[in-house]
Amino acid sequence: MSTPFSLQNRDIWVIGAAGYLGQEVVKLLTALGASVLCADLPGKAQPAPNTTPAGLDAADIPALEKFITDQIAARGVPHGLVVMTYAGTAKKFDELTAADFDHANHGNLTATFTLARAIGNAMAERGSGSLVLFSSMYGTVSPDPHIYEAPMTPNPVEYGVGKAGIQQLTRYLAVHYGKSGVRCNAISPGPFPNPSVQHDEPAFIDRLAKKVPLGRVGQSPEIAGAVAFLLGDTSTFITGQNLAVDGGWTIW
Amino acid sequence: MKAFSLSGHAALVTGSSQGIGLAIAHGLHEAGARVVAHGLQERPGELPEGVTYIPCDLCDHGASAKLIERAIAAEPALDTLVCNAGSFFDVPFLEMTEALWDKTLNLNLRTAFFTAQAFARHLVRAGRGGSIVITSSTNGFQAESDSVAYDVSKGGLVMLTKSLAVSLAPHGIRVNGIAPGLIKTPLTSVWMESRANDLLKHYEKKILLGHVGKAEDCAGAVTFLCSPAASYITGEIIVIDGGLTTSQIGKP
Repeated sequence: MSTPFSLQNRDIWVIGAAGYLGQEVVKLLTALGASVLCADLPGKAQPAPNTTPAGLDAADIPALEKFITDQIAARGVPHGLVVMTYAGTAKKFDELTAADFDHANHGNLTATFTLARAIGNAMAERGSGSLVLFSSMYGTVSPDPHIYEAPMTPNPVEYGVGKAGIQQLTRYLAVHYGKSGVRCNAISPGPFPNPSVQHDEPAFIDRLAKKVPLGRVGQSPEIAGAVAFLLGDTSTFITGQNLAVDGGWTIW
Repeated sequence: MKAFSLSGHAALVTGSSQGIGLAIAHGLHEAGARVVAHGLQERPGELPEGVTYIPCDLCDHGASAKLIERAIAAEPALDTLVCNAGSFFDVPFLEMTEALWDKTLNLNLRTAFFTAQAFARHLVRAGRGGSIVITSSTNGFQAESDSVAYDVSKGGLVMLTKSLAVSLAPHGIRVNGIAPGLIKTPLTSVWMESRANDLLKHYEKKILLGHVGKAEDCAGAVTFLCSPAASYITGEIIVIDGGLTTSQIGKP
């Protein structure tokens, strides 16, 4: 298909591909012509045309390193990497232990760093590639506790701390790999509650929507365009950026 | 690809007789939009056939509203506006004059405000949504010496983008921006030639991707922001600078 946004003949790895947002990303990438390695926790990623489902617990660092080596041996160095994993607890602020906090940081930051560096180094050796890391609006601004009234669980501190770290990791990797032709950008989604929350918690959805200039929560297909844009050839002069897909959440 | 298609849309691009604006006009046209181009000069030869061209000086009294009227007459489905017209008139700060300050702020900031207002009034009257993209600059975020009026005007455009996004969201109009870094255009070539041995070398060293940008590097981001692929993005400014500002510009 002749569009400047085409991803024909590109191999993209999506980590966290079976999630609510991940599935839509994979759909658009394959529609644009890419082949996609869909990694998620074992048993989660389902087969689909032009995708390879794979089981991976990205927080298990030795398993992650073996996964990268094996997959590069099997399919080569990818053209793009999308990291959509996250870790957090459902604990209240005062109940969070140091071990919980370390555990979340490990999943959010250490695993993403390990993954992005291994793939980034391989891309740098080839001289091209695009890394897309998922941050969040809560990597930029603090959650408003009033939005998360019971029965909702407050958005936990360790989640946003990790997502803020992703924004700086993005800038650092952009500088580190820039001269090697490898770009690195972040995407910060706004409120994208999954369909069951949208269905079961109308009052919560209403509170979220009121916080958004566009007046509504995001729907999963609306995240995919930003990912495809940052992976493809129309963004080849863009690196080190954080692209908010948040209906305007962070501007007011 | 449908997500990035502008088929069925019509766009006015101000300041599109050359440089970044001309590349944007080409990009929107290629994505399937009907396009109205605008500039100070006679119609440039490089514009695709079928693109309407309206010459006028936006700084003339009432010119913004008149341009919108003429653009609607040419393309009644007009629902997309790119405020791109702008220039650089600074001399060293201690020598700046009121006339040069006024000229800079009038062209870069004031005409964007009133062109966007005339465009939004039309859409709101017609009960239709739409999209606006404003060209600011990395100078809207990071200061450059002896570029004071220009920097202020571009900083103003950064906030104009966010403030308009909040004001127009209830009307279904998304407002986003691009912030180009150092891009080779007829406007910047003059500066680049005169500073080829010092400042330009420093900039080239600071641009992570190793080269000055092309006007075409800006076109894809604008197409993306105007397209359905960006339906949940508003108030966002995409920096297109090859990483120039990621670790700050500084001086040689």
